[in-house]
Amino acid sequence: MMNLQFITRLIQHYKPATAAVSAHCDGPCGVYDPSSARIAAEAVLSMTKKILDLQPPAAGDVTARVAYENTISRYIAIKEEQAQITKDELLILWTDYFKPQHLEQFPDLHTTFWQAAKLCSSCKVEVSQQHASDLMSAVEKIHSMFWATKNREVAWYTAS
Amino acid sequence: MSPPSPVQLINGVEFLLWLAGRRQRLVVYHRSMVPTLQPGDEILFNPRSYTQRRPQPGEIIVLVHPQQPGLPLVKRVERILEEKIWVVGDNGEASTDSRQFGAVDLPQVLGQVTCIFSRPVLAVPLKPPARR
Repeated sequence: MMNLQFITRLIQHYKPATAAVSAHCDGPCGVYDPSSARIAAEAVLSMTKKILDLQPPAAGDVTARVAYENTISRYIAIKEEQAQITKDELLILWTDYFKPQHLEQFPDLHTTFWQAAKLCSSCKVEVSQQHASDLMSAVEKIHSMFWATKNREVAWYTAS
Repeated sequence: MSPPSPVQLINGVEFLLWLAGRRQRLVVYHRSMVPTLQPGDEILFNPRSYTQRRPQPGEIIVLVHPQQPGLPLVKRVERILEEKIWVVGDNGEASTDSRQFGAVDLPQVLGQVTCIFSRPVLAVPLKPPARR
C-alpha cells in the first residue's frame, strides 16, 4: 500500500505548489550588484536629457505635433519606469544585502540610500537634469560602499 | 544552544485538512531555514492558527516581509514583544530576518507552518521567483 509521503511526493511532482514562500537569505538567493541600479539610473539621466532637448513642433503642423507628442510620451514613460527600477534595485541592496556590520563601516549608509531613493522619486516627478545627475552620483557612492564591503576594487564606469 | 525543533512530516489528519481547504500549500526556496526546511520542500500552513491566540516562541510561521509586501517569508518566532514578534531563520548565517528588518507587526503573520507536505528525494535548489 502506498504510504502518505509517497502520495504527497507524487502530488508535488505532478502538481507542484504554485505559491512560494521565501526562507529569505542573501548568499544563495542570487547575485547582488549595484550595476543594475546604475544602468537604470543612466537611462533616467539619458531620458531626462532627451526630454529637455526635444524641440516642440511649429504651430499648425499637425503631423509634427502628433510625432512630438508620441516621442515625448515615450521618453516620459521610460524615465518613469527606469526611475522605479532604480529605486527597486537600490531598496533590494539596502534591505537585503547590507547588514548591521556594514552600518558600522559606513555610518551614513541609511542616509545615502534614503536620499538616493528620494532622488528616484524626484526624477519621476520632475524633468531635472540636476537631480538625474545627483542620482547617478548617489548610485556611484553606493557602488563604492558595496564593493568596499566585499574588499574588492571595482572601478566605476558608465555605459553611455 | 539546543537545536531548533523540527517540523513534522505530513500525517493523515494534516492531509485531510489540506483536502478540506483548511491548510495552504507553499514551496520553500532559499536556505535560511536549513536544516529544518530545505529549498524545494513543500509545506502546509494554517491561516487560521492565530485567530484566537498569538504566535509562540519556537513556532515556524509564514509572514509578509515588512518592507516587501509581495514577499511571503517563512521564519521561526524567537520572542514576543508587545504587539510585535521577533523572527529569525534557523540558518542564521544565511538569513535575512528581524536582525535586519526589525520586529514584525502581528497582522503581517499569515499563519503557522503545520507540517512538511513533501520533500523531494533529490534536493534541487530552486531558483527564486523574479524579484519584481
